[in-house]
Amino acid sequence: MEGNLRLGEFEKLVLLALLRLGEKAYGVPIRREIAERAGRDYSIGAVYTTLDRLQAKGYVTSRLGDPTPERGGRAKRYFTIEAPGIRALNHSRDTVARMGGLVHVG
Amino acid sequence: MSDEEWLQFLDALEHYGRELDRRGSDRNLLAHAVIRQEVLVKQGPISSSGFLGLRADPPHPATSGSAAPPDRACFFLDLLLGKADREIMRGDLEEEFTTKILPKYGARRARFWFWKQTVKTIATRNAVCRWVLVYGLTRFGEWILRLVSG
Repeated sequence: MEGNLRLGEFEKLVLLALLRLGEKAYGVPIRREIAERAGRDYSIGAVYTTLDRLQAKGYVTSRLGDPTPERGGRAKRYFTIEAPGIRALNHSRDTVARMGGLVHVG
Repeated sequence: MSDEEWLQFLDALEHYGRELDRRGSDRNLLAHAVIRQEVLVKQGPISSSGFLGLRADPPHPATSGSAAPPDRACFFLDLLLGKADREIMRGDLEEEFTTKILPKYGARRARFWFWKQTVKTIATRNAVCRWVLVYGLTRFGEWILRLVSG
């Protein structure tokens, strides 16, 4: 299910974080990546809410990883961006380009 | 005391002995320093200059206070999150707490961080709690306004 290709601001950040992280994308590094690169500190709950929404749209898929001691023996949930997600990102980028690109004011 | 702690203690004692020779003997000062060393060694690794008080070494962050996530915050996460969220999100919070926040900021600030993340996570994932929080804050704001307006 592809749905429309419109993405919210935070959805774009999450998808871009998934692209950067590749196979190692789960909650903690996704959150850190967004905090370090976009300078915005979102809670882990907000990250997973967005990931659930993206998964419902078919833009990402997830799989369970192995538990580790520093997580109190709890499993990780890895996320992977899929082709519809990449198409949605490209659509978002093309939309900005059609609007005349980034304009610096001042 | 472990072997490493003993080695640290002997190293510090030797250093202190040289200082005493330089400054002149002072039995009380030495006794005080030995007792302080006992306390410091239990708290974590120190340098010999820290032992002498020549330069105050900060206590190792992971050993000052509790190095575990706050129990009550973990209880609220288990109580108010769904089963899948409990497993994944609590694991993420504990991992970040243990591997990044605690070594960098120390136990006290790390525990505050964990509490803050707990409240934000529950408010995001639990609709009822979000409603209660918003309603509660609204009523609190109204009360403040009534108080201020007299």
